[in-house]
Amino acid sequence: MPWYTITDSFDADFGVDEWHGHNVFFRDGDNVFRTYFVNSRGDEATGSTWNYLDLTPLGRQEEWEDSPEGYPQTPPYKWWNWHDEYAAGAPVQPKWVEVVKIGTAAFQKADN
Amino acid sequence: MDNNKKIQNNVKAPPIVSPQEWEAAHQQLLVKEKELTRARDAMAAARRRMPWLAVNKNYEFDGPEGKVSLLDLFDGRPQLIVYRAFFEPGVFGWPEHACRGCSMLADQVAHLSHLNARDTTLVFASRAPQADIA
Repeated sequence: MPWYTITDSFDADFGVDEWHGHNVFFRDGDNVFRTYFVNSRGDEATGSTWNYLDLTPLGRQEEWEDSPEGYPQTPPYKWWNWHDEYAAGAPVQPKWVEVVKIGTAAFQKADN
Repeated sequence: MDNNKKIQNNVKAPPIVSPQEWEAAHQQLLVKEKELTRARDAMAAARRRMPWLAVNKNYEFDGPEGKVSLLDLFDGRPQLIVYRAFFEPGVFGWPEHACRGCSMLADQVAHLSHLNARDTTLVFASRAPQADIA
């Protein structure tokens, strides 16, 4: 876990000088924006990949999500991988694509 | 073990039912759970439509390699989540560890590579000097 030391008013400016909390930022080139903040009971669900992604402006980037137009989205399941097997630009394994296709077709109704 | 015994003695158990009754009760619960799932999805969708606030101050942090900016914390990705953990003088646990709640959170975070695969960097930030964090 990258763990940094606050040296200035970052904590006071973003509502975390007296209590724990998560701030979410988005970067467009060198421009930084604060997009979200959650603390207290809202904080406790964090820890899982899905919960963290649901706090971000891009979300899980999966096709089923209701996101603003033009946001990047790919099919669910297919991008999921082992932690040490993610490689930038690597193609999804064809066999896994097939399994996902069969599985989602069979369980689509239950999934809704 | 003793705790378990105590709980068993004090808890008034819900009704014990047949498989059919259990299935019916579960189906009933499922309706509410699906509502919750949809509401959670809608909340995440609303978060994605939150307006953005420009950050114009040049915040500076100490990292393992020295001074870094807020921009550096993104580690090249477009999204950054900063968790403010309480690890500093005056907080319970100092200097052996961070606040127990914050430590527990850190202890159960999913592998960061999954977040990284979705353009997101997660970092913790505290007031403790790097020498104590490392």
